[in-house]
Amino acid sequence: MSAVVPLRDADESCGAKAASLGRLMRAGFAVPDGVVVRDVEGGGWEPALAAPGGTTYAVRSSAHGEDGHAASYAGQFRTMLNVPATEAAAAVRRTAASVHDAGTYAAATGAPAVRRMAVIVQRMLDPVASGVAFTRHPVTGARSTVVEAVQGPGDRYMAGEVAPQRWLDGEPTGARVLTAEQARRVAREAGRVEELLGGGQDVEWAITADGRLWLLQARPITTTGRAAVPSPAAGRVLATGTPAGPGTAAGPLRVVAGLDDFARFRPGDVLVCRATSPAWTPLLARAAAVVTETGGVLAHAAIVARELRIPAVTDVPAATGLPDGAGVVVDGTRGTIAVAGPR
Amino acid sequence: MSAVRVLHAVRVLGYAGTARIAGRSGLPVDTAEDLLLDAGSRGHVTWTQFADEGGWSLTEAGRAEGERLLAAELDDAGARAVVESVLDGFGPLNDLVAAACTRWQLTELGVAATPAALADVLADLARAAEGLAGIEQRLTASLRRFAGYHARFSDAVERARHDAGWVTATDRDSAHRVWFELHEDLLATLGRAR
Repeated sequence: MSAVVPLRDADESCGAKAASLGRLMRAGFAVPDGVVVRDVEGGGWEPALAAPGGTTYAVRSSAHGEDGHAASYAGQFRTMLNVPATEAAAAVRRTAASVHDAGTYAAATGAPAVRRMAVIVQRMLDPVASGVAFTRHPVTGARSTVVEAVQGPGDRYMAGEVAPQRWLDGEPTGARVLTAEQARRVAREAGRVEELLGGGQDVEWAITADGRLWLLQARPITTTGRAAVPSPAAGRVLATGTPAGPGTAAGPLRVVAGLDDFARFRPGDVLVCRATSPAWTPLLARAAAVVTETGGVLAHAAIVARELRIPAVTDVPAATGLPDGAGVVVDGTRGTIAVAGPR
Repeated sequence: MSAVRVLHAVRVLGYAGTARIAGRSGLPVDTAEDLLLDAGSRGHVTWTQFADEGGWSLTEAGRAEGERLLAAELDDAGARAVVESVLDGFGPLNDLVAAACTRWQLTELGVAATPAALADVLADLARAAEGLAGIEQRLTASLRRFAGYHARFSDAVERARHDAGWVTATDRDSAHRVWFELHEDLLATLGRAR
């Protein structure tokens, strides 16, 4: 395996983020050119960093396990912008070192630890506007497009320092940044990304002075929990039931007894309950997966879970007796709830 | 009477903003808002904010209070026997709707053993709509508030002919959402658990 590959050729061996960008490039989307360093420790990749051209680079982590999980690692790994060409190699090494911090985070949340870290080096853009687009409504998980935009590069917005203009299904609020036509273009492009990658997508984009629309990143929306990466490692099986909604997702198990218990639920949790009524839909919209004691493949909870594209297991007899807070992997295709981690 | 309407709207909608609750309970938005704030001060409903959007949902106390009021209304109207008979016979029709929704979802997810044709799914839902028309007629003879389910369900099935999202979407009055509300309404009216 060569230590460095063009971003255009990136596959799963380059980590989730680079693999998504590679797929987007091969499908004809505009993504700033770059390379992926797969094996930082081995060295020998330094000369290849000049390949994307330009004088400054964006250096981003692309870990296995990153971006695809129910518990989002957003912001946990290092991203460095405007890195001068002379400092690129050092930035790559520092980014790879941030895998240790991520390991701490994984241990704290019960999420599977990152096994290996690749680093993406891309030509830095000088955008006139940038932001994100979500292809699902952040609360209901329904198909709906939210575009958020700021003037110039997006780093201050990502850090939460600037309030963006927000477009919800074509209706703007906040500062004036994009024209309606530009917002429509971004929304359409995000929709095309969802068609290619499947499931709700959280897309980072930028528009340059020449009017070109670029994609910087695309990852599954955490709150709809769909895993686009290989299944998280699962250990001992705690319980089994009826496989009612396909897919696999990991998260801390949260036993919710009733309406007064809703406040204990956190986005990305695995929701465990007896049965669901309409009141539970906002929880389902933010759950990594759902496990119920009653129902079957036809249960209302199962239908809503499939609509939201989260794994569901029903008919698990003593589900509400499962250990609250434990890190688990729910396989809604096989109908199992297993301890997260290696076998 | 308006207080029970608002509490019941929150029960069947599950989680909704003031305007939607007002629409569902047939009250002006101002009136609904006053009643919701009042119910909130009694600990019957609670407001939850998610990002820039919020909504009302019931507490366990509100759920119990709603069931108490609905039971009184049910007995005043002498309608307990008819609602019990409807819920007891609801199973087969409920299975027909859930199975149609499930077949279509599994087809869309690409995991159906035998992919379903949308026309067949909608034919099943149209049959369920006929059954629903009969149910609604029996219920509304003594409880007017059950009016509207058939019209909303049929409308969703009709729209699904052009946009299959209307079968099970969670962001609109899809066939499944209307049916889910009706099921919750029947259970709430009789104070039964799922």
